[in-house]
Amino acid sequence: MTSLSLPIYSKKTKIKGFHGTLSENVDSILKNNFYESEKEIWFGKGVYFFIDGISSESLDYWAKHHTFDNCKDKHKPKTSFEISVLTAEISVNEDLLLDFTNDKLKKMFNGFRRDAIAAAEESGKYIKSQLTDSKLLAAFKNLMEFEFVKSNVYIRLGILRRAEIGSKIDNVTIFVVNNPSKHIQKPSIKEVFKGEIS
Amino acid sequence: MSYESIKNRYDKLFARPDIGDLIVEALQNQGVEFAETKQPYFVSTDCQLSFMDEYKINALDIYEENEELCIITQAA
Repeated sequence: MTSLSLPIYSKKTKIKGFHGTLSENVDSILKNNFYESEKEIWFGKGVYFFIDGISSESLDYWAKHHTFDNCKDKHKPKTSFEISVLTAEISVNEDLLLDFTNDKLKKMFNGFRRDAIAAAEESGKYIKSQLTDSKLLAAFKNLMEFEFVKSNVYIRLGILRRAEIGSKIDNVTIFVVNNPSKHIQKPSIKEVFKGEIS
Repeated sequence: MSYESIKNRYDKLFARPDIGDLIVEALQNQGVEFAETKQPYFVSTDCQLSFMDEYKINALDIYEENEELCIITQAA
């Protein structure tokens, strides 16, 4: 498809993000920058950060414990992991930011979701039950050339996980970056925590 | 304001006459599958004949689409 002719001048802001990972990945990240997850999670592929927003917990808390929970689920029966928390300065072009904390942009995506379902149905060959949030979002991001997503989400960690509390009330703000080498300068990446978590 | 810039992009994109095709292509790129042909609906010949007899129709084609039985008919 043809380019949408993004504006020449775009407002840029800097955001500090916290990212948790296994300590064994740190050298590679410091040397090569972050790599995008390919998994179909939350907001599709990208590098996921916790950023300042609605959380009452510290951001390194989220980075540590979210990484630990992921590892615990993935590498059973292992129960302890050496985890690092990295911070990075993200240079954000606001014209490329799909900000779900902005009601107008959320409304825009809801319009796209409706139009996408209609387009799929009109094609006459659509197989139902495939339009997951992450696929719709990835299609929307590609069409609109977004490279960042910001959203408040609910994550069940720590005491919430122990108490098995499900909720529709968001508790943390996340930020997803595509093409990290374009938007994150390697010297800005710092390891702020390293330790064994069990 | 960045929202205005994004809205302009959105309006420009969605004004394109081929937007439906672009959306379908974007979904396919994300692994959403579109069947190449209509899904055949397998019913026994006896069942088809009984159905056609009951409703006094001649079915030219019977297929399943979006979990619904579609019947192309011709008045008997």
